[in-house]
Amino acid sequence: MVTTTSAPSRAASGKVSFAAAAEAHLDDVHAYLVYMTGDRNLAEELTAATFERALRIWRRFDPRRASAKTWLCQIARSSALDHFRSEDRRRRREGAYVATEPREAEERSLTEGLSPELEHALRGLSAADREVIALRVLLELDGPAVARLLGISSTACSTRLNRALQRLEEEMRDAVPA
Amino acid sequence: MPSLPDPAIDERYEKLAALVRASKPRASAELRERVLTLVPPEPGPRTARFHLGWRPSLVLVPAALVAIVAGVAIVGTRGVTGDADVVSQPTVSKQFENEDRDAAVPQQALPLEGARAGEADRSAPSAALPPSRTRAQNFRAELRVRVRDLTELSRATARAMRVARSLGGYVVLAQYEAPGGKEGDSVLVVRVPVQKVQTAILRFAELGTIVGQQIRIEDLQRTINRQTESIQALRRTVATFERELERTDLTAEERARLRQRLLRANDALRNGLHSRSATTQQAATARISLTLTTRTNVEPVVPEQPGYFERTVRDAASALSKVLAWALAVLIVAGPFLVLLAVGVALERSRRRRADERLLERA
Repeated sequence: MVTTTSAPSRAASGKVSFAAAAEAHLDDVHAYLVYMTGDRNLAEELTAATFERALRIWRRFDPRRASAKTWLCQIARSSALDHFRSEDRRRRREGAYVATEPREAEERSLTEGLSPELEHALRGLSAADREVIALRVLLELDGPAVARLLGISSTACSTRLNRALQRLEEEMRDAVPA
Repeated sequence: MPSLPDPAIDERYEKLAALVRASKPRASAELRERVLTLVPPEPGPRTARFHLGWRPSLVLVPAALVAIVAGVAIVGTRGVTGDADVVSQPTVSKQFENEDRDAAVPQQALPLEGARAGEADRSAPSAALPPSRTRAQNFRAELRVRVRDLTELSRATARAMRVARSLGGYVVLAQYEAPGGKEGDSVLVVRVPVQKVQTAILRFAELGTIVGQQIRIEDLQRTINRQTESIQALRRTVATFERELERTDLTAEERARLRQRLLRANDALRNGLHSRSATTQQAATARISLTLTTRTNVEPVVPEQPGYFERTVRDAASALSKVLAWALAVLIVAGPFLVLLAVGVALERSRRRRADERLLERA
């Protein structure tokens, strides 16, 4: 096992090594980014970028403030938002051409093993809805942690989750072939 | 089917949540390898860096602030009592603290009341406070002396005038009033050579009971230095003009203009010399205002002699109050800006969060 901090200091702070955290939460971060972006390839790129960034600032991670999973998701969110912002700027720059450009991501499946109904339903949701579902349902983070991560209150987080699940259910119903 | 771990998730969506969890995306082997190769080899214990993080700053920053305030207080305290070596009596240290400085605070005054004539050597401290021998000073003293009756008042007035003259001084003002025939006042303003001021005060104190005393010293050395520099500069200017006028290649117009300037420079030089002479003369004599009175309603008060510790505490408190006043002033001035900054930061964060939410809604 490789570590970036010495064993005594780790033991004192209860901090796991970066390698251990990466090993344990790679799937979580990847799944979160897949849901958030709706694009497997992009999610892989952002996952790698997230871990690169996390490695650079690993010494700032404090397990008393948040779990490694929450901390990594926070960085992943920041990476995804940076990407969305730059995409938004690019689209505005390129104007009408990009508006008519077909999005490659929409042609691919989100992930293997996903039922067509669920995939269709997820695609019908906004990134914000997919995000809260990923955090609360898929990654099973608790409400307060997700609320902190999203920068909203716990109540708003709960409301947002219920609405997202409701929409997902409606989309699922619509996706069932008559 | 496993139940949802958090009761905040509505039970209606249990089935849906299970479906979502069952198809959780997994990272590909390539991604896993890519991420795990990012991890650098484990550094040995020697290479582990000692990192304190930001928390120590919570202690260090206030400690530094306290140290700065304490330092300023100590410096302030030293600024008030620092030149104790030049003070012959600790009780009146304030008057003479700037004696050998450039008189950053040119005037200091300390009222001392209640010294008795019979105890002049001990309780008339001004007598033991010599004017500076190295710096020019404007030395002023005010004495209020009580005498027994009108006869004594008349005698003491005449004696005070004689004392002033015998010391090489002169009477500037003499005013004697005894309207009711029972009680009266005599006001004398004398100027004596500054070297004799101690003797004069001692002699005046012997005329009766001192009921009030105030000494004021204003440093004039800086003024004289400034005047001297100005005079030297004017002399150089005059010399330059005179040299210029000796040239033969000047036109009549240039020569006339130079003469005008030379005249003006000479006038300024004369004025400067006159001012310096007046300042020097002012420093040569001390002004003593002596009030002799028969009135008994003014009770002599034994002067308090604060100890070293008390004076230190007082000075420290004074310096600290000045620091606090400055800090308060800075806070009052900077306060609205800090509030605006905090509001701006909060608004910016709120705007950014809303923008992110909109972005995610669109994505």
